[in-house]
Order: sequence, then C-alpha cells, then structure tokens
Amino acid sequence: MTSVRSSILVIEDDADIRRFLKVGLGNKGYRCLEAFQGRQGLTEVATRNPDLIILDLGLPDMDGLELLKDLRRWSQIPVIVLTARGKEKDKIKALDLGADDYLTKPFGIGELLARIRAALRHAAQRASGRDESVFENGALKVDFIRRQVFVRGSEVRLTPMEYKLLVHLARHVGKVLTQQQILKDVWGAAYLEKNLYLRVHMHQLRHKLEEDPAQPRWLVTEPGVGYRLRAE
Amino acid sequence: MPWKRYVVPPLLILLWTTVAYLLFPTMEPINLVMIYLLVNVLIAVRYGQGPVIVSTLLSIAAFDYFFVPPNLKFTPEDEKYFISFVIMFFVIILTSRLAIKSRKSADKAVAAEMEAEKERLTSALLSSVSHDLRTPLATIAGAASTLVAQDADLTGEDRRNLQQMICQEAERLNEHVENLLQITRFESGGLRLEKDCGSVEEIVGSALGRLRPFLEGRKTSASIPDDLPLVPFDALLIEQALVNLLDNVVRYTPAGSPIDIRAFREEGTVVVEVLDRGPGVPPEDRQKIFEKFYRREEGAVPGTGLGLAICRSIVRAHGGVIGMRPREGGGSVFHFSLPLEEGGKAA
Repeated sequence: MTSVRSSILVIEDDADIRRFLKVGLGNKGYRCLEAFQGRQGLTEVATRNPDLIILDLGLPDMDGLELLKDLRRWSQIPVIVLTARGKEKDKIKALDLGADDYLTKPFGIGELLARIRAALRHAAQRASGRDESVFENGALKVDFIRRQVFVRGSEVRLTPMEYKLLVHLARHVGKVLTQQQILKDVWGAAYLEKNLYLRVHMHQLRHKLEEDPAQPRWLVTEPGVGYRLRAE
Repeated sequence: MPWKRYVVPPLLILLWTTVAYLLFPTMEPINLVMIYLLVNVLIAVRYGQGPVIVSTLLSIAAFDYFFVPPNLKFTPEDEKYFISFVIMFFVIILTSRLAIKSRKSADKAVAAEMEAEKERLTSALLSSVSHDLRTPLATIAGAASTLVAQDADLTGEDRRNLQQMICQEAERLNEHVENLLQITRFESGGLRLEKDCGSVEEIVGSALGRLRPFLEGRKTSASIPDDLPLVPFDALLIEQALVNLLDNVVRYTPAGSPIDIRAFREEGTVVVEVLDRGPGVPPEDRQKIFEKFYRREEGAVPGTGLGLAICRSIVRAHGGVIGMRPREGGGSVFHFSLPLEEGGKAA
C-alpha cells in the first residue's frame, strides 16, 4: 500500500451500507468520505478530490448514470458502480460512460476491495503516463516490445487480431470491458455491431491460452455485459 | 364479429349441400341427413343456439329441395316426408342443445381448474415466503443478537462461527428473494429475451466461475466440441438456467462427487447436459422436479423449489426442451436443448 492513505468517496443513500463500507474500508487503510446524495457527491469530488468513487446508481435526487456523465466531463477519477441484480443495461451504460467497474448488490467486502485495488492500479498507471513493456499475470506473459505471448514459459503463436485483442484486455487487466468498447477499440468504430467477430476471436484466444477453455482462468465472460482479463 | 355467427353457418350448409348434390347424387338419404346433423351440431358448438336454428331450417329446406323426390321441388311426393322433416328438426335442435350445454360445462371446469391452480400457487408462494425466508432470517437475527449481547463472553471461535452463519444465511436469503422475484416476473409475462449469437463454452465457463465457492473439492469437467456452433440465446438467462441446474446438483449429490458438463449438436439444436454421480431421481419425480415449489423430501435440503422451474421457463422461452434421465453407471443427466434457428416457440 502507498504511504499516503488513499481516500474513497462513497456516494450512497443507504446509511447502513455507508456504515459498513466505512468500517470495511477503514480497516484496510483507506480514508472513507461519504455523500448520501448525488449533488452533495459532486461537490465532495470537487472540493476534496478523492482517489476513487463508489457510486450507487439508485440515488434519491439524481440518476447515478447522469452523475457519472457529468463527472466524466471534468474528472477521470476511477469510479466503481453499485447496481441491483438483473440491471445489465445499467451496467453496460455505466461502463460505456466511463465507470471503471461495477459490483452487484448484495456484495461482500472482499470482492469490493479487489475491485478497488484494480481500479487504483489502473489510475496510477494512467497517471504515470508510461506503459509497462511487459505484462505478467500469473503464468501469462505478454512482451509488448517483441510482440510475444508466453503461457507457463512457452511461446504461443497468435494472429495479429488475436494479439491486438489480448493486448487490449491486458492493458485493462481486472476491468470489465463491454462488447461495444472492445469492438470499438480493437476493430474500429465501424464494427460496433459485429458481436460475432468478437465471440469468434475470444473463442480462439481462449483455446490458445487457457488450459481448459470451458473453465477459463484469465479470459472470463460477464454474460450480457462483456469480458474481463482476470487479475492474478 | 357478431354478424359472422349468422353468416358462416348458412354458408356451411350451402357448401355441404353443393358438395353432396354434385359428388354424391346416389348417396342414401339417411346418410345425407346424418351429415346434416353433424354439421349442425358443430355449428351449435361453435356459434350457439340462434345460428343453429337458422341453419337447421335451411338444412331441411335444402334436403327437401335437392334430395327428396321429386328433385328440385319443395313439395315431396310422399306426405310422410313432412313427419321426417319435423323429426329431423327436433333431433338436430335437441342434439345441438346438449352439445352446447356440455361445452359450457367443460369451459366452466377449465376455468375452475385454472382458478384452483392459481390458488395453489398463491398458497405455495405464501408458505414458501413465510418458511424459507423466515428460517435464514431467524438464524441471522439470533446469531447477530448473540454477538451484540454476549460479545465479552464469546470465545474467538464462537464469534467466528456466528459471523459465518450470518454471512451464509444472508446469501441464502438473497438467493430466495432473487428466485421469487424471477419466477414472479416470468409468471406475469415479463420475460423478454435479449437474444444474441452466444457461445455455450462461455456460458459454461461463467456458470462454473459463479459457483466456484460451492464446487470446492469436486472434480468438474466440461466437454464441448471445438466446432460447436454459436446459438441465438439470451446469455444472461441461459447462464442463469445452467447455474440453477448446477446448484441443484450441488445440493442433491454428496460433497466431493464429480460433475460433468457436455454440449453437442443434435438435429438443429444444441444440447447441454449436466451429469452427476448422485443418488438419482425416482421415475415418478423426473417430470415433477421441474414444477414450481415441488421439492423432494420436504425440508431435507434447503431450497425454494423454484430453481428448476426457473430453468424450465427459460429453456421453454427459447423454444427448447428440458428434462432428466438416469445416468448409466449411477447418477442423473439433466439436459436441455436450444434451437439453432431463430423463431423457436415464442415465450
């Protein structure tokens, strides 16, 4: 953990959930700021500049998605969204609007802490402005300079498109990317409707990298939302 | 449309008369009358009392004109035919009335049956809510209040046990609520499919991933051919169906026993199978386990009796079929099919 305590702003109208987050986050060394409404939340962001925001989408005074849209006009602070089960559309919208991750209520503190760590790591990487030259995630290794991929030390041959897809996932390790985001960033804006391309290439990539493609370690599917390269 | 009731029956009579006159000029009059009778009874069942009186009169007139000698005249040779006409009229009307009556009481029986089913559902729902929701709640309240009231007297281990109980029961509670919400949504016709070409392999992977904590110590294998085609399905719902099937297997088979998943192509569908090495299901229960609130050995294993019913709703909405059969060498095979072509039966 960094020497300066990271501060996390929780925008959530339910007092009990705020309380449990305050305890859970506080024990792990985070400083927890609280807002129980959207507007108050935006003010807190502007005045106290937290390192990360946990945003409940169901706020009393404004739509959480609206808040996110507003926020993204002037801030790149990592945001983790809390939603109810079955609201896949909201999850996709939140991710497309620039949320870094989501968590479905009810959730355990362990899950939340893992998401927070991943989001803070990305933010730090973004801020440093330099990309790593090698990506290592357990037994998976990508050498960005030589454009080589290794699983358990042995090289795996990928097509240029598969490589591009893997690199994109690796640059966002731990984060869910929506199908639309991946298609736009890897294939280009003209391919937004080509879910089939994405499925086929993910299939090939999984078969080349995973020991058991039906029980993947790294390339996991979030049904109805998108894909995530699981951090190890 | 009401006018149809008086237009269609005469047309039917005219149609039959034309057919009989042109094609069966040599048919015995008694056979012709029988067919008039049949057509009128059908009219009675379909269109009711008023139309059948009209069509009966028309039938007699047509029979008289076309088939009673001398042909193509209304006045018969033999006056005894008038008695036949009167009898024909009453036979048709009486038979029709009986037919209408029995149809009405059949309708009533169906309505009563549906009403009874609805009531059974409501009471099952209530008992499910009160029992299955209260049990975990009681545990949570009890464990939490012990932690609050006796904190100083508890050993570290006691405390951990109570805490674990709260976590576990809260999760169970959440699962119950999710199931109840989902089945209510399905029942009220709120099931809308978001179909997209989907990969069975991905769904299997994410379902197993979601259940990972409950699969501890079990060997899981998945055999899915490399060239299995993509299937048009709602990924979220099909994952849910698979999670429910697997969850059911986890509950009803001994800890540590293996679970296998298979998928293959079969006659325009993709079939997904979940195979276990549990105790199996007796033949009389093999259909019933997919019904709402049906639970074997009531209370022996915690559950809402909704998981498999939800599976069935989801698979049916995709136009597929779900079922189970015994597995060779012991255990069960749960299987469901998904049509490869769009336009399977709508929800």
